[in-house]
Amino acid sequence: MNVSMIVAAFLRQMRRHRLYTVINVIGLALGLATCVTLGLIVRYEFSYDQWIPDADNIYRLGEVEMIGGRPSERSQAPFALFDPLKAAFPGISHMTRARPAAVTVITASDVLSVDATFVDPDFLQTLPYPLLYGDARTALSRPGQIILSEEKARAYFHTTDAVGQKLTVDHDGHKTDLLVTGVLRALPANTTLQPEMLIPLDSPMLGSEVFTQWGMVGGYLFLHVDNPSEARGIQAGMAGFIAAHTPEEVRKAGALRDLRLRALPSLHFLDGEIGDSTASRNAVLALGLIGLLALLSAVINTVNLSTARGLLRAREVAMRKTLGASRRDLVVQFLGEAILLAGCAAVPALALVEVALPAINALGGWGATVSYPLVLSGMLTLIVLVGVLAGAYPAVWLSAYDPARVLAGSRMPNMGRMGSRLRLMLVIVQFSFAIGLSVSALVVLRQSAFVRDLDRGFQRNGLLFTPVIDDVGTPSARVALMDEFRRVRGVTAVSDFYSMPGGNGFSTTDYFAPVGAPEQHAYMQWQDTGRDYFALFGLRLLAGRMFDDVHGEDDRLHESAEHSVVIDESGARALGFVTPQAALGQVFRKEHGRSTIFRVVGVVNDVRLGSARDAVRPSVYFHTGQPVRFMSAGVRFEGRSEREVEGDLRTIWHRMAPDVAFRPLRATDLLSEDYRDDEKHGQLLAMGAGVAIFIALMGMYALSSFTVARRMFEVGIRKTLGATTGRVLGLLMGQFLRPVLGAGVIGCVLAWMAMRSWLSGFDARIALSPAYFVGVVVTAALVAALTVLFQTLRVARAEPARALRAE
Amino acid sequence: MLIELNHIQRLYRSDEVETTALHDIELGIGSGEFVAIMGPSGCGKSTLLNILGTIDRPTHGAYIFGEQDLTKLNEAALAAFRRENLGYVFQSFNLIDELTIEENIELALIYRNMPKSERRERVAQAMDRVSIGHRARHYPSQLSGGQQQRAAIARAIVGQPRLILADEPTGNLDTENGAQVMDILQGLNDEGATIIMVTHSPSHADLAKRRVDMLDGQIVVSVRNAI
Repeated sequence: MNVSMIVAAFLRQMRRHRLYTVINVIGLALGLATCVTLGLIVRYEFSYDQWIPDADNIYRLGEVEMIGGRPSERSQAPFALFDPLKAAFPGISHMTRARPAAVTVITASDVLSVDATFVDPDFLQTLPYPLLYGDARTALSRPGQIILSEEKARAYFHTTDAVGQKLTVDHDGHKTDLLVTGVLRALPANTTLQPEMLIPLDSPMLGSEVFTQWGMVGGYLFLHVDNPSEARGIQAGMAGFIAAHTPEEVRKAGALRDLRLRALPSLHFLDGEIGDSTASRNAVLALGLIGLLALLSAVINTVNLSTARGLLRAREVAMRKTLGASRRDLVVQFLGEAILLAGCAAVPALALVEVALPAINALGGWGATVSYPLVLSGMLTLIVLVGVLAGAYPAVWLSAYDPARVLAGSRMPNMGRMGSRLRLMLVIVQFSFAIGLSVSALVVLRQSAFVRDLDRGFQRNGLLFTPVIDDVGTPSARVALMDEFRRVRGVTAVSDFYSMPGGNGFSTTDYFAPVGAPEQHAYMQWQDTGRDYFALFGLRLLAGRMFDDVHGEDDRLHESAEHSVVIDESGARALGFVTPQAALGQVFRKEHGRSTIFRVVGVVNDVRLGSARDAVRPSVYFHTGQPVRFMSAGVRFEGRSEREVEGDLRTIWHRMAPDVAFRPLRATDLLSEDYRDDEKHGQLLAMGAGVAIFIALMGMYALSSFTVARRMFEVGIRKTLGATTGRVLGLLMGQFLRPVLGAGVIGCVLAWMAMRSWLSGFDARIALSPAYFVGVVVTAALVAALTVLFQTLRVARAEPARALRAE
Repeated sequence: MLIELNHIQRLYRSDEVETTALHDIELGIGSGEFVAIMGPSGCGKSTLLNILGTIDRPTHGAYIFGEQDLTKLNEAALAAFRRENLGYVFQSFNLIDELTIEENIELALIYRNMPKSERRERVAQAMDRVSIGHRARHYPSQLSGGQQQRAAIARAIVGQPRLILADEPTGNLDTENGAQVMDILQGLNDEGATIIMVTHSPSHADLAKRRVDMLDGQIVVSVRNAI
């Protein structure tokens, strides 16, 4: 049997059985395109930071702390670790802190807010990013220098060669002219840390409490070692290091449980702070699995249709054998036909990949590209693989026909039963996958919607923020700015505060204990609040009072041995008070540092500023009469559009702080980071489910057209024996719906296991309601019923005599 | 009279051709009769049998069964009629490959909504009647042609029908198996069953009580056989 004969036989089959060909080609093209597109996404996700020289010997150090009774790994660590670490582990060849902070860039024509990264001189030795211009050894060696990204250099100086230029930067109210000493080469999109400007840490910053206090997380810590065994040694010595260097109260409270080294290429898949550009490894692997299963589903269609059509080709096989074809010849022929079919599907599949990839990239924020040498070699492998998978069983089965029996006209019921069992099993596999995926997509999308609409304990609508207003000027200038904001029509409350929703801005935690009960460790989030904070966020008072101007002791900036605080419900519980009322009037103090006593004057409801994945942190609210460092401003408004209010605020800002960029943020936008990725994954799952269901239904349609026609004879007998059209219809529909319902059970069990595990990662989550499962299975069954209804009805309504003649 | 066919005509129309399969058939069959229909291929024997079995409808004319004009019934009522009154035996047995012999026979009772225990009992009796009980769990493909036709007869009689229609029941069988099948049919007729059989075999036609010869869609001879 030569190739031209195989091609001729294949073309004849294609022409004669157009439905079969079209369904197979469309199914395989969709399966191949889904597999290749998602394969490219997976490859892209796993390529993060791989381009950086010696990436496997670069590590980020993250702290593990106990939150809500469970260990939680953070991407950032206390900067107080920096010097002790360097001293304790000589194997660290280079090490740098990296503190992200917003700065204001002042150019001749504009005032811009930019995300800068403050780093140690060793930054480029630790993370060897390539410089387009400048010397990596000296570019960050002294304060007053700055390295710009290629994009920023072009934006500010209209050239990438900006070395030697001066750039005016305002940070924390200090305006400085920085000397451009380097320009970073444009970094590939698959880079975890993408700095826009690198600025050496200066003495005032290094002296601030963020750099010295254990309770404060300053930013990222990166270190470079010479080989992996050094890293293993450092990790092994970490417990001893923590025991030797960490203050006792920190260890006791479980706030610094462990320090973990994570290799740079693995960072992309670590759960980070909200806003960190990380991905879930499981979610990425799930994408790859969806691609493979979509392809498998298309292969199943081909196998099913080949075996279902086997009887139609029985005579051809018998004649070929009679004329001298060996079984091997026939196996080669059928495998060859299957490979040619996959080859035909590969062409539209490539076109689909070209069309789909940009859309999928846009949806997921990926930068995957179609690399043709890779895609073509991959496609060729898939064609052969799919051809062999799809063709093997039909080839072996068809080539086994006994020519004498076939030509004598007797059927081959045993083979038929085996074939129909196989088809049944494969249809169950197809629909299990499609149903499981649909349920998962539904649950993920419902959970995303739940997180979006989650009651976080504060009103999120009508709330605008301007993050970190330190650059506006003195505390009095900031107060004046907020007073002006209060005069804007529609504004109902304005306040400054420390921690922003969505984990943005700063977050400080500390250790407290009630006076008289030092064993009651309470690890609480510290929130400095200005006037009207509670009105700004719309918090409910559960007991006592809010802060006010009447009580001088409310202001923690006043020198006093005792200050008033407001705590939340979780805070009251953490301090050992059973009810909000029981906490009123009680006193507690920080476990270390100054011995100021805090008296509870009010208890408010819990607020979830951070992720829905994490437990709500107990909070203690302090009142500051004037803004302290790192405080942001918030504005609540009603009765006017956001654009109008924002316009008025901008006008005031430009009048009062002309050198500082106005950067308004919406509370709803900040919170959207908490569910955007899940929503994206849900949409991708839904797309995968859609493809899977479409392929499965196409297969079912084609299968029904063959099997229903084959059962025409049986229908004739049944009707002759008195069966009504309804009974026959029920029988035939049952044949198709039973595997769908069986697959529903399998798919639901798999989805339930996967979704239960996924949801357990959320502190605030939906219940895994049976409605999701029942809804999807019923819908799948209805759609499957509609798919086969027309053909089934046609056969069920056939007159018995005609049906018997069909035999 | 159990059956009366009045001016039965059956036309088949395609796009260009109209074929008359049956032309003005007049036939009456009494209860307990055993009628053999003979004639050359294409003379309309099977069409007549299909109309008698209500699996095909006449183009014109009336088909009275007992007191009822079956040409006036809708599809569902005809299905019910077949369930209660008819048993079929086909030349090619028409057993369903995917069902065992027992299940094939039971099929005739399933549509009567009969309790399972009663069905099983009746199936066992029918299988005994044609000596096929030892093959109950086998599939049709595992049986010889004669055994398959006995199973088909068991399926035809399990519902205790008023009329058994047999379309060349011995056509695919050798002499010995053909004789066995005819013995069974004769025995059933002796027990009171009305049988109409299409056959090409003059010797088997002679075993019936009456013989009807057809040619070109018409009945040309209807004679009683000497007993």
